[in-house]
Amino acid sequence: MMPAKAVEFGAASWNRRQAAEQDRRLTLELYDHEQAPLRRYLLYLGVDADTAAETVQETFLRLHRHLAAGGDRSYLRAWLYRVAHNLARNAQSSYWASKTNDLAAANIRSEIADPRISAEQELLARESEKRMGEALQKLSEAQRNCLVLRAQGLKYREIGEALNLSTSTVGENVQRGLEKLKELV
Amino acid sequence: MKKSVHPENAFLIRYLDGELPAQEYARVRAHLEACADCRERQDLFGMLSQGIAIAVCAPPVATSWDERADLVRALEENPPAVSKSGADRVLRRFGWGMAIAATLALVLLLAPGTKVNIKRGLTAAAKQQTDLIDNRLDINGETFIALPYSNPDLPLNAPRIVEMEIPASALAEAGIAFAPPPNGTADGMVAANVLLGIDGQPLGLHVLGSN
Repeated sequence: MMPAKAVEFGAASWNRRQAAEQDRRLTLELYDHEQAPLRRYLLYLGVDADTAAETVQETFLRLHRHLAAGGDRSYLRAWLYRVAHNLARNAQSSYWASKTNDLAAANIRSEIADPRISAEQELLARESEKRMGEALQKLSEAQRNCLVLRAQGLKYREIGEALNLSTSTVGENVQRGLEKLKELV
Repeated sequence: MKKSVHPENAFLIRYLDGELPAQEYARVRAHLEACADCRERQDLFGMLSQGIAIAVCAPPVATSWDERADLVRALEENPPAVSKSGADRVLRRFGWGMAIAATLALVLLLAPGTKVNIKRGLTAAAKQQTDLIDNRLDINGETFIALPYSNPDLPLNAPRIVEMEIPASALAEAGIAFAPPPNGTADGMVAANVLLGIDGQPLGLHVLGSN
């Protein structure tokens, strides 16, 4: 005869299962919305495509654990960027240390290809992207990261949460970065 | 920012980003409507921002359905440990969860020390209550009381019926009340067939007897 401990009955068990299912759905929902921007951000940081893919997967597994553990659910998008950023740094610290900015700029363009645009459009777009990419690489890391996250649609508060900066520091980085880009482009 | 002076770049950029408080936002907007130079500065920051967005965001990153499927599989295969509340831990000490609900409050009389068939031993009131519960599961001719917290959408394509011995006190915690034994101390055991769903969780209960 099976001992009663083998299964769980009642509201607590049901609530846990319901919560687990909600966490799973939320994780997948966020994955569907955020995996592409997150991967772009990692590529822009200079992470190679394979590491970016692994980092994105690991980030969402950690998100699931974070939700299950009752972690803070405010600014989850910022949480994703922070975790992905740190994971990528850990995974590629030596790679990053030896990497030049030019390599980083070239990397994202080689990883990303848009099959929907014509060759001419692609050439023009790539020229423009190249100029902007090169200019971005001349900014400080903090300015670049703030501007890239801002371009992904994150608010200053979210950028601050992701990069562990105050909102006012994010604002300063965005302002100084744009002013510098104005001179460079 | 004072109303009479041109807004600094910081204000124009925060205006662009929707990061200004409402009052400041209104002031910058009013100024921009009247000042062509500031509009030009504003447009330049807008174009730069657009250029960054295009450089960063426009090229789509290929979506890998295999990677998504991998994630789904990983979430299902490695469900995270869920932290439990103190009350929950106390209830788990009894081997059963929290109260199933008052809807399942069947009053069953037990004679301590003797094996009793619960169906035969039901009081009239208990029978009446049992009759009122129409949420039942019939599996291979055996009737189970559907547990209120079981998943109604769960397919029953591979049900398992497991006989268990459950402490009467635990059943009481779960909302199935038994009359206390006359001596007030003994905690009888109740034999029940438990219907398990394909997720291994209980769907229904069929009390067989007790001692």
